[in-house]
Amino acid sequence: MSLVDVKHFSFTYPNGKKVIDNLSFSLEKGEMLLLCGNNGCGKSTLLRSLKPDIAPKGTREGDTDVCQNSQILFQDCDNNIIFRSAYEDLIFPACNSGMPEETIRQKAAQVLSLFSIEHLKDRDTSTLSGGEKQMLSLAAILMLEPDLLLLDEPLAQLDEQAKAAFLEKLTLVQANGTAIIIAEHNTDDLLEHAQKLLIFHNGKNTLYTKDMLQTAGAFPNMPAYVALEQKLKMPVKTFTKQEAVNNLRTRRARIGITPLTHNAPETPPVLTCRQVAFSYGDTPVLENLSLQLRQGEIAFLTGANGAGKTTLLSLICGFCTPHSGDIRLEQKHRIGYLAQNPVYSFLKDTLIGDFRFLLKQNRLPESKIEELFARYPVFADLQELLEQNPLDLSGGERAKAAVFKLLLIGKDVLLLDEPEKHLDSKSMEELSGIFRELASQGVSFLIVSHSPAFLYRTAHCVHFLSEGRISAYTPQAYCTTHCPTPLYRAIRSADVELSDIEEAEVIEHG
Amino acid sequence: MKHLQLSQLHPVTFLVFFTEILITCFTGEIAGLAVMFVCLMLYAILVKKAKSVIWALPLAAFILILNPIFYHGGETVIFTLWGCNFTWEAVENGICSALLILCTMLIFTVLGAVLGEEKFLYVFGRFFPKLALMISMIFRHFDLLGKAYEQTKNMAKINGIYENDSTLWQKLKTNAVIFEAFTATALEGSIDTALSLSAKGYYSKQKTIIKSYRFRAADFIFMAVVTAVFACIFIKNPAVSLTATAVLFLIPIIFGRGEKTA
Repeated sequence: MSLVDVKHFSFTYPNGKKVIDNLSFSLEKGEMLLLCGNNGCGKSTLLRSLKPDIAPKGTREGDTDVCQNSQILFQDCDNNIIFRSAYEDLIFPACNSGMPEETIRQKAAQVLSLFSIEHLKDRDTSTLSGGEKQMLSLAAILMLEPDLLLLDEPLAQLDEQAKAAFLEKLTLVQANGTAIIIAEHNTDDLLEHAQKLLIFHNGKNTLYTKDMLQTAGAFPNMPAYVALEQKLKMPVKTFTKQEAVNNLRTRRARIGITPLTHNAPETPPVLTCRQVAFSYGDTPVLENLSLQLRQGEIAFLTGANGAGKTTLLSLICGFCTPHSGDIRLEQKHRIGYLAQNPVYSFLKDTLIGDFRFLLKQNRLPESKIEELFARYPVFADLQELLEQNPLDLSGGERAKAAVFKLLLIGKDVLLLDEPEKHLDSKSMEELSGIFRELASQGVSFLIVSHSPAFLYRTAHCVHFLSEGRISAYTPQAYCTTHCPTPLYRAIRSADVELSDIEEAEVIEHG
Repeated sequence: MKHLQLSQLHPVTFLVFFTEILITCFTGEIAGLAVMFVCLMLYAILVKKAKSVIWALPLAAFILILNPIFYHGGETVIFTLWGCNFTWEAVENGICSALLILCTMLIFTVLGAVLGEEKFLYVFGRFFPKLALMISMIFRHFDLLGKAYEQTKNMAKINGIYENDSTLWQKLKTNAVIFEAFTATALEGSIDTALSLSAKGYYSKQKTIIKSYRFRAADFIFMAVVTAVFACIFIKNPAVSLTATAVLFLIPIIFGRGEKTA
């Protein structure tokens, strides 16, 4: 018997927007269904519709037959947390299920160990990073051993290590018979574990199994190795080592791999941090940290969850003061900042009202809105959303609108905290293009990100923050050392030796 | 020998002590209230929560100034202005009310921090689970809302929202816009939190209360001693009453070394 059985399901919001049209699928024990689609296509709506007590308001058609024991994790991890104490938050769902006290304690100890988050047990949840909150929320729902897990972009705020740990746990859970429906933009790592793929594209939804993907055609957030398979018209996993390298050599023009050159500009510095130190109470976060950002440079700031990346951005913006060291912004340069949660940057109840208010407060003409839409077609879809309340937008739409606002007021040193977090692959690629164009015009970027694909496309250099200090890398060196790009991994999945990958890398990137 | 700390007491013991302290505030006269305030401030400094009194200072000052202006009862006239008598009794009344507000604020924030939401939920969760959870979430969200407001203001500042506001009126208008936006975001977030609560089984009827506290001999002795001291406060002898008040409010300081607050 299926755990999930959806037949001809359609959903329309009260404002008349139909987000799901005639959807049918089923899911058995131990199966994973991956939801792919652009921002605002209905992935989160589908997940919530499968849980009757939190289903969104609107018109439903068709049938959804879902097992009782299901758990959901929402996109915004801040709103998943209820208690100040991390331990209380962890055991809250289990307490509500009536589980015996001793069982709760045992399971809590087990999940804390499995997720390697024992150190978070006695922490105040308001001091946890976004990724740490995500792990805590995941651990809490897994204590209930649900039959069905509904996950809305769970990897968004996780660093590479945490992502790997999470995927490992997900595999175990799946092996125990739990069915999983997961909406995610970061599909490269997930597709290996998924049996089915539901693609929302061009107003339609189509269900695929993995075997069908070679002939599926392009779709949003398509994993890199699927793109490679489609272009080469053969499964990558069947390559021999030499075939993998040769294929790239001979088919390079057909594949259309363009060498990406990211030479860091030799321009004067606009921002200098010298021996900066900062701590929260008695806990040191940053120690003797030095960093320089040049004009027209795109620097990425990476590191594990809780390393201090957002703290460093806060120090540069002047929201808090370093205990020692010096942060200097050169004259005539102005900082723009995008927080991890862009909802805080919206001040009016319509998007157009917000843009106009921002321009008015900065004494800039309203014509800048039209100018920017004309100049950057990637923001064209925002024009349909101008009369909407920013709080009603999807996570990705809100992120795009927040970046648009920064460009409106012409700041030339942009500090962005995970701007690509909820963006689909197409939007991420377009955003990457915009940033590189702006950089060529002298705008400097310091971007916090966990996405290797975004980093590889965009960065001139990478600052890796660990134990309060910074190590600088080129994007190539960083991806080799810390997180291979999806294409890298795709080739590696064909059991290729490191030297072959390096050779392919040279071919790929000139 | 390691000394007993208030945070080590059983939650029920602590709550009894907390209630006795609170009741004492409402029985004290100016001397007693002054002693209470000094002791509570010393304890607040000991547990590094002294800044919490700042929030109550404006209201206390407001009452202190207004009371003699609007209340003219009493026999000891200090001076007369525009036909109105400004009496010492009205001033004393104002001082008492101001001290009462400050003491109440300190009791809830400082001693409340020692109690912590975990213990609070343990005590009330059995009998009033939903009310206890709501109060616990209120404690958490006070902090969160403060941080969210700060973040909204910081974002606005760095993105030039305040840059061209030169007059006070313009700044007030901008702050009103920011406050409105922050409130809307907070309400929106509360809906998502409510959904999360529902998804985590908040509305289920069967709940497990995790028992982690046991009564020890120290709890019984502590409760007996403070209750005896509390009873002495109601003795009609002012010297005994004042001494008992001082002893009751010195207890947190005596046990406060190395105290950990929530």
